[in-house]
Amino acid sequence: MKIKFAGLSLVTLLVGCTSTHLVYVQETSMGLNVALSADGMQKMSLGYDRDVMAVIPKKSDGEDAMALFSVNNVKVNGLDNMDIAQFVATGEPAKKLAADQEAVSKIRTKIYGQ
Amino acid sequence: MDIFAFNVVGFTALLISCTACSVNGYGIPGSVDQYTTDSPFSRTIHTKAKGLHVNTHESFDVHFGYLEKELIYPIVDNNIVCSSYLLDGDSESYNTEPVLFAQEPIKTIIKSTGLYFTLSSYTFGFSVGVLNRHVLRVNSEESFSMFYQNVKSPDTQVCAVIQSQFKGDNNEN
Repeated sequence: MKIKFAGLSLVTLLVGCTSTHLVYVQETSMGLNVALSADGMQKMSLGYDRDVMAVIPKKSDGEDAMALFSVNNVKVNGLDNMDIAQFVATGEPAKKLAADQEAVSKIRTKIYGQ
Repeated sequence: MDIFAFNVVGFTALLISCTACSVNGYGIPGSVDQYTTDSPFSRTIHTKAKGLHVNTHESFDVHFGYLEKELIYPIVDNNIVCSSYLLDGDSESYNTEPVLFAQEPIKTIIKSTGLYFTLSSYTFGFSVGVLNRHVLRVNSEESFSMFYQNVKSPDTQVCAVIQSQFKGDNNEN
């Protein structure tokens, strides 16, 4: 009974929190996988599961929801093997990059290797 | 029969725990390998552990099986952006004076086979089986840029920079 109460309290505590962080998850699992996060991620899977998810904090009217510039190249070779080439920028660096087409093109070339 | 089977499993687990157990990177040689890689653009803490491994840094983790974990800490700098590092491609041309590392990791990479339990102030996780997890987590009040590449190079290339008023530790401590 005490264990149940502690478990419920933990879930309530984690789920009830307001997210202040940007979270981006790439995950592959085989078996039983349970995850709870104060940032808003809740999942349970049994068997094979492949997830890509993002949690973006809620903003009020007039606030910047978070400018983001991202280039990703992910190759899943197996359960425990992912080749990742990733560039991410937020805020001012993202805004500056988005306005510079030459830089965007070079970053794409670097990430995709073309 | 069931009791016998349970005893065999329990005894095997006990043997593995006793012969390969570690706490916070310290343990019997061969069962755990933990080291830190510092660069002008990031700090990475690598952990490889076999058997029973307990971690109390950043989060409370208990792992049983094989674990590879990387924690990437960004530098805090208002003048550097990772796009410059990526496009210039010459990390040695940058200033290599002591840099300031953020207190929280920006990226966590976990490769786990076996049983994995983690609990921290913001997350709870439990896994039995194979798990490969890449988590990018950053405070939305801060701007950041990050480049991560684990292919096409002998070594993983990492650049992670946070533009912030200030939250961090000096690496000279």
